[in-house]
Amino acid sequence: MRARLRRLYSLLRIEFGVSWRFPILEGVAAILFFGFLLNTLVSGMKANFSTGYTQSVFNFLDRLAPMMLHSGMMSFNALVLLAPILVAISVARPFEDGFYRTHLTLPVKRLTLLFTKAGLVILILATLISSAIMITIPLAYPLLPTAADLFLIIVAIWLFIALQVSISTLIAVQTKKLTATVIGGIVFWSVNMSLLGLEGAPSLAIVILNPMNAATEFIIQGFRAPVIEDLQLGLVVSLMIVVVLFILSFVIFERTEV
Amino acid sequence: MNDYVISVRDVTKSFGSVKALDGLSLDMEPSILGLIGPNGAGKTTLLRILLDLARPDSGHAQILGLDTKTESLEIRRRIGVLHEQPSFPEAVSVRDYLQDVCGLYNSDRTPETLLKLVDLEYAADRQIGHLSAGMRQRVGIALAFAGNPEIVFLDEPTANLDVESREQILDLIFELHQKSGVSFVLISHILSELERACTHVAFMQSGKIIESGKINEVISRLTKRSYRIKCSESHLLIDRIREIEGTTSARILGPASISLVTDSEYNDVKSKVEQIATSLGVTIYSLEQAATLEDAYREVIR
Repeated sequence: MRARLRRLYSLLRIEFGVSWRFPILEGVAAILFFGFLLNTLVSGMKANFSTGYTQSVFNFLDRLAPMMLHSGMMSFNALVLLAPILVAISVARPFEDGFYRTHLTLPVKRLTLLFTKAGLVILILATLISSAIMITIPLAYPLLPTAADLFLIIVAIWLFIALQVSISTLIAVQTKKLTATVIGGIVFWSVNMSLLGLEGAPSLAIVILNPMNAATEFIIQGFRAPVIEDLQLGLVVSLMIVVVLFILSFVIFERTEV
Repeated sequence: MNDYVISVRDVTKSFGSVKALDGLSLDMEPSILGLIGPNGAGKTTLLRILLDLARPDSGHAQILGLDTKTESLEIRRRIGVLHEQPSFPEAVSVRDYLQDVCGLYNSDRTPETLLKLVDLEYAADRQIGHLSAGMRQRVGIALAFAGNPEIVFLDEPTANLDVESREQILDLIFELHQKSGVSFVLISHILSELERACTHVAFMQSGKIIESGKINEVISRLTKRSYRIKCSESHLLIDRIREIEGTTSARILGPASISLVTDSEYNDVKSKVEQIATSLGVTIYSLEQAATLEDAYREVIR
């Protein structure tokens, strides 16, 4: 057990050294929190916030919360766009720069290596976005969100990112190309975003492909849209898709020649 | 089969219409084996198959009695590898990286021990990305010894190294083999180095092993009719030497050196060469049977 932990610790350190070196991680965190700050400032500017007009703050409060949350959600959706880029750096680039050839001759299972790489992208991105959401929602909706609501949103965020990462990982191991992974991931993200704006798009499809948005809508609009059954079913289906995509990626990676 | 540290049976591997390995078989006893062949002979493909980085179309291979396809992880715990142009995390210090690699092996070796092995202690705290090509090569060699390996595969181990470092690495290989019984597979195009370090050689061509065995036996078997002529001016002599009956190849090795392969016996060759040299006013300093690995290589791929 201790030996396994030592190996995992070493693998994580190597992975951080290869794929998460400065300024990637710092950049992602900065984009996230500056994005969040910018949204808040933009909302404030629209409300004519200034020291001389304190009343406008109170007048705006009833509109501030949804605006902040909506713009925040858009920003978070945009941040998920980083997932295919980070997967390309972490999973696809090592095919091109020879990292896999060097490191797959060390005593590491291919499954563990890919799991570490894809898992770290999910872990880092989802942790950053979740923590930002945890700050945003209670600020925008004081007393409104319950612990269950927050939990639902966090689950949805992790699933959304896992979905984007799993698709990008599949593209990465199949094509072994950094550019193809980025483009493929962005195409999936664009289709996903387009679906949100489509008139009459089935709510179940939205929940499956963009659980984060659906969960947010659910929190904001209560039980009206989408219906809770759709949300629950959608999250389960989304999770199944993630699992299937990862299994496919692992099977392909296991047979891939480097 | 288990007496051999490496055993390869009828391995074939194609890339599209190109047959990289064509029914290759090889048995390697504990030794230092030099794998030699022209570019495209299949050396790297063989190495990739042994390391389970590529799968053969047919045939199978074993390392230390373990199947390369099904027991790859166990094999990788017991071997060390230096690839040609290895890839490292650039922003990490040499010490940290070696520490992490030792962690993967769960090895009790320390970065300091490994760096001492390759004489790189002074660069322990430098980032790998800031190292020179020769220093990176030495990090790669240190990496190959991180797990207390029983077999070490070294692809172009002396590339980018200066003369002194080359000597040091070749000495290290020989010492580890002698003292610890570590076996080595060396892939290199510098045959003089292989001749110095190896106990065994295997010549590859067109995806097959065409000659293998103990290095001295192979050289003496293949170079019976190869001669090296040391003279005052090789360019004056070469054309006339090519005209000697039974000559299969004659080429200039340097301004004062000629390599000659012929069907004739030593005394016949000697008298004919001396005759030609006298007529051209060229001095012959020596004419002896060539016995280098390079000559054997030329003979075998001829």
